[in-house]
Amino acid sequence: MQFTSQPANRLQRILNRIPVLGDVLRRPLGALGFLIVLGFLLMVVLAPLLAPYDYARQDTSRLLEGPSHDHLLGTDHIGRDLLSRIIYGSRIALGTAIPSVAIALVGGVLLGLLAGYFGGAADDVIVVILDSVKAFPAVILALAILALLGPSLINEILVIGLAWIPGYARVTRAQVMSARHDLYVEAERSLGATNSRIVLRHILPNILAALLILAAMDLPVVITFEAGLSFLGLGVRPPTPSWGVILSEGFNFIRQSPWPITWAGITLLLTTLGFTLFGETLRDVLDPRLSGTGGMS
Amino acid sequence: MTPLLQVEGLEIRYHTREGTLTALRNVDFDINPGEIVGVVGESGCGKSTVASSVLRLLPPNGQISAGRILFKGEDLCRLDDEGMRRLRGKEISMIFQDPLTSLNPVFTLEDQMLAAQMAHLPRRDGSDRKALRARAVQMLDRVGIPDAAQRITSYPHQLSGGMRQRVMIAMALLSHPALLVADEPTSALDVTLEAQIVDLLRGLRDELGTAILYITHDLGVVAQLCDRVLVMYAGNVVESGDVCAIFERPKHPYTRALLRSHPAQSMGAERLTTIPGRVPGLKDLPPGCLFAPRCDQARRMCHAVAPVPTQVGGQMVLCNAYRPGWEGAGDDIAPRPEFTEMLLPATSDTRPAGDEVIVEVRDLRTHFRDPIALLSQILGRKAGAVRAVDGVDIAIRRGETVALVGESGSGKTTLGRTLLRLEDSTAGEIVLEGQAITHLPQSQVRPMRARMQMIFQDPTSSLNPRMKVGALLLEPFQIHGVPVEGRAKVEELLSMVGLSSEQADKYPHQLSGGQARRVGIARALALHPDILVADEPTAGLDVSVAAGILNLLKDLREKLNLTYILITHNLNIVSFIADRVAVMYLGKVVELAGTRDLFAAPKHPYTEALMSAIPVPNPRLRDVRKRIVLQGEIPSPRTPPPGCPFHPRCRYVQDRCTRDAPPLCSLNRGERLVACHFPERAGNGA
Repeated sequence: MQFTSQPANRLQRILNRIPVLGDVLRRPLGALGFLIVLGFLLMVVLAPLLAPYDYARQDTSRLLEGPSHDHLLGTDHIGRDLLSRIIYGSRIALGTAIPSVAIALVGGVLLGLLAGYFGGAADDVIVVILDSVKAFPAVILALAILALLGPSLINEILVIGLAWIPGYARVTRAQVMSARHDLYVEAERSLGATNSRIVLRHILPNILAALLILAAMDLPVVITFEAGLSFLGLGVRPPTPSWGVILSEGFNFIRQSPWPITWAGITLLLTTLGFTLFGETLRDVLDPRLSGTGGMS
Repeated sequence: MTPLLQVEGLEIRYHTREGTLTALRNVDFDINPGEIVGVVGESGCGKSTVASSVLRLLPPNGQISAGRILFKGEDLCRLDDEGMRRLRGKEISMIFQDPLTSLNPVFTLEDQMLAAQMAHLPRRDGSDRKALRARAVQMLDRVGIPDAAQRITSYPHQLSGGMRQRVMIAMALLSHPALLVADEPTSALDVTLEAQIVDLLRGLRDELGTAILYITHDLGVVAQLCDRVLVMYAGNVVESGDVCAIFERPKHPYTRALLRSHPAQSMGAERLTTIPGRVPGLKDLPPGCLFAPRCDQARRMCHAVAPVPTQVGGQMVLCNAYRPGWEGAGDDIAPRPEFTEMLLPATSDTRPAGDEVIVEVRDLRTHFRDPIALLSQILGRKAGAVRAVDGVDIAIRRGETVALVGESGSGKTTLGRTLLRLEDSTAGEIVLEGQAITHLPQSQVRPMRARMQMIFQDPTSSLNPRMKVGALLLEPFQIHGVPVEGRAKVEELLSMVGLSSEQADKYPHQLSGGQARRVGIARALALHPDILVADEPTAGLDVSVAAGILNLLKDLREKLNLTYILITHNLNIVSFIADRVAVMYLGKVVELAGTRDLFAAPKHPYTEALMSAIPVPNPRLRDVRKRIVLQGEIPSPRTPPPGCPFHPRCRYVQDRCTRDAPPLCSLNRGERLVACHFPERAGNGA
């Protein structure tokens, strides 16, 4: 090895010692995705330190301004600092999106495994319930339930989680149904394995990759959905900032200033990109067939 | 005669992430008009690359880096894409290995066959559709599709595998091509269908004068079909010549080794001969002669000096042994053995066959009912059923090996699975060591599974792709709660099946087919079962690798006193390993006999036909040996024919056969059972 490449070697060695994340970071796109995700997570935690102003502080003399020295990203229609609002908005965005996608993932996977593996009556009942939930547009469903329970952050998370369950359950069910007939499942059965062992130890790890990708791609969708709910007054209340609120408020003043929706849009885009890149690399790393450890055949 | 196709100094390279790999080196051969040239070799030797380079259908990263491919005097390497397109399907056609995926499922045969013809017409004119259709029907008829005029309107899924392969051949021949390239067209088919296709191809050659380039790994088929043979190893043609010369006077050590490892060469032998090691990957080719590391005659020179093609007798051979100065080439260097022979020496031929019956089935039936809507059930419609196993009686003694043979659809796999309670039986009884297990709930069957194990047909996909070999081998112990010292047990199991301990850290996709098969066997034997059901243990493996697996199974049987139930359609391996054979047809056992008796004189017409369909690796026999080519295919087990299930295809059929189903009766007095009204006819040619 050449002398100059020693620092890179040291980095390689460190990465080699970290089991999964190390493999993700060794791929350029995976590292980029991880950095973006990490950046947003830091933003959530360190919001009070990072934000230059209080997110609710109004400066009525400077409305809808573009980027300037005082306000790096400009101001909104009532003179609040956009940078501070976007930084604090990450708390709402990720604080609703991650838990609700997690609820959808866990609930959907459980239902999908039951329906897909056992089939028969259990399958019929679960599919009918899923279809009924799916038959309502998500917004209508959320409106109805939030009207019943009253708007709050917790309720919002639950509602979004519920509305997203059918998608995960469907994907899981389809994957399980095909995996159930795979020869390795049959082989396990012939060894005398119980159903729960087959499902949890053999089928689930094999289908998790598709679900991880789905979850990574759903996060930004859920963030915008949350924005919609906030816009309808069912989510967070002003002046609490969320990216969705910034988007929808900015939209009313698009002729006066493009900056609010531009920044909120870019933020959403970056989040999507980060989670998708991270998710896809994670999938590749978790699948031994794709991780490049094999020979050419 | 000027050759139809001349391949000169062909070199193919693949550009991959690991650098540029040379897949073919210096390949020279000719094909004359109307000649059938076979290409044989193990997997990974470049056979299919030869086939696709002739049609210039290499993958995008493949490149013809040197040499010429002259077709009727025109260099195909210089032709542009449009010129090549004109040639494909018109002058040169191809048939592929997998007939199930080579036809488009959303078009009828008619659509596909007309489109194939119209692609080569000067103008798209609807007026002669009728003529094109007539041609298509005629061609389907020629390849033996019954009711071609009606069948042409069906979709691919409505045809069986054998039919689809015929349709592929018909499509390839529509334009009367001068050259047909066939890439393993029969390896997915039963021996009986294979015999039909081989006969068909020979007939078409005689009739239409089509030259055929036939890629296969089966030496038996080559001997049956080909005029000339190219033997390939690691991207080189190592020997080429006339088919009789290759089979009778093979010159290259690789050719000899391939021929020796064919199970038909060692009927009744103690062990099969294998070729140690495996075909080297393109990344790590050895220096000198590529075959030297596996060659039993390699000398020091072979590991350093690459051989040059030499004319020996009528053959072209790529081997150092034929170059001058071989005598001074140094000492013999024995190849490293494939695995350590740590097993007991094989005992004498007659193994102690106890009288203790270990497992017995009585009138076993397994029917798969069609799913039927609740409403139709209420309205009194009856669901049809596939009678996969339809009344089987058999008693298997401890320590013996019983082979279940028959075509696909004969119910042999279902019988094996039902025996293990992996499938629920419809009627009948399964008795394991005196205990009826037919209706035990799964929770009680589960602990019993340790005593009866199965190895599955597809070795790689029966292993969970996300688990390492070590973890896979410990699964049985965890499932049955047997405390075990992990690493040591894994190594013990691996060495039992002749694998080194570093395989424990590999994932299934990193194993070769033979290694994956060995891991499957090790896992099945981990808990010391009494009974092992082996479903096509050599399917998809190269002959030499298959020979290694069969040797292993035989050794393990002696060592662990196992009872085998061997499910296979390959009668060659049956003769090597089985004590008794049960021939199955449409869910019933039609003949049950000791292996020697069965091979000496088959008594059921179906057995007789199956045995005569085995491709024997001897080209001289192909015109002498009387072959009984079974007409048609096995009927659907949904609607078995009345009377004797075999009567529609039987050549001795009498009136009585269409009415009464013959029971499985003892012949004369002995153990031999046959289900035929006229068992004396078979074998006498009456």
